[in-house]
Amino acid sequence: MRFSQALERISGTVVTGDPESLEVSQGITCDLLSEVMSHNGKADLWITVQSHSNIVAVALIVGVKAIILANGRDYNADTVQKARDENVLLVKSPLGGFELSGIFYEMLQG
Amino acid sequence: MRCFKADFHIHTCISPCADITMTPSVVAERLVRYGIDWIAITDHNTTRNVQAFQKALSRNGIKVMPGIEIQTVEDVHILGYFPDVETAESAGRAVEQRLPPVAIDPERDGYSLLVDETDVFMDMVTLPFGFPTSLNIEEALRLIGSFGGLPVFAHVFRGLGLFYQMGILPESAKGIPLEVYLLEKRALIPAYCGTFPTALFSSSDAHTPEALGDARMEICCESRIFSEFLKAVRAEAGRSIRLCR
Repeated sequence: MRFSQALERISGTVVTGDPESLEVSQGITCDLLSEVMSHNGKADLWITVQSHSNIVAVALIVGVKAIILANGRDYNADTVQKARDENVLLVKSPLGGFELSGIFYEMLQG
Repeated sequence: MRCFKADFHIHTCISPCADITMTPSVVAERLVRYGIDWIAITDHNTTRNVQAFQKALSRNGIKVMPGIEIQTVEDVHILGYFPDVETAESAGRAVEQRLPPVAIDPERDGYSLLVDETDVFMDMVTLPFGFPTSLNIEEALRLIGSFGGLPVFAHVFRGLGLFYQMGILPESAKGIPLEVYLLEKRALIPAYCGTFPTALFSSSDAHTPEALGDARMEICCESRIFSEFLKAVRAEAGRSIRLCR
């Protein structure tokens, strides 16, 4: 599905990047970056509460194209800059990781 | 030039996860037994017990470097070492300002006991020292630096360590010394840091008297003062930090 289809349901705000052109089919929910790096298999989107700029670097390594920051948190300024440079979509949502995972899981399975 | 047996990561009874028996006389007794003569007190998010330990351990000829272990918002532990107690206490107060406003239950979260140099418990502090502060990694590094301190990333390959939490070396962490708990993990460091020269530490991270033992490193320098310590960290003028195992 296109990422933009989920934007309203997650009350998401796009911080940088284009959700219209992004196709997603798999995701990961995790706050431990070393765990994300050792993730086997495909992940287009990543739900986390970590906002440090390392999330962009880790996203590039594992092929994640969109990061959703949960719990109404804000990205660090250097994280936004890095994501813009590297063309990674950054979205933030007031919802928790559990709700976000449920919404995406249901939409992607359906 | 001398090589001092050192342990630069020791918790006291004010760290909620440390044993309440981590009092000056108990720690001194173990350190004397193992011939360790230069240590750092590094409690979680506080420096309130440093002075008592420095006074008490000096009677046994053990020098205490004032320190702290800051927990960042990313759940990364960063050690900070300071030139003197007063500076460390100021830095400690600045860190305490960034603790979350949560009420703790000492029975559940552990006791934070302020102690004097004669092992007398002076107060039970109810601040949440065991919780992450609101400082991010970069803010914690800046805070330590603003007090003239030296930051070191604690137990980088373990839980709450830099590489475990953050996956890769953050830009801001380049060149900052790393503490490695298991020395066999040293071989992994080039994969994380490239060819960047990084000073390595190894300490006990003792939370109980039993965890204090053989020194894992020696600091070779002229005398046990902060400026000589910095030279050893930078491997200047023949000074060095040598890992023992």
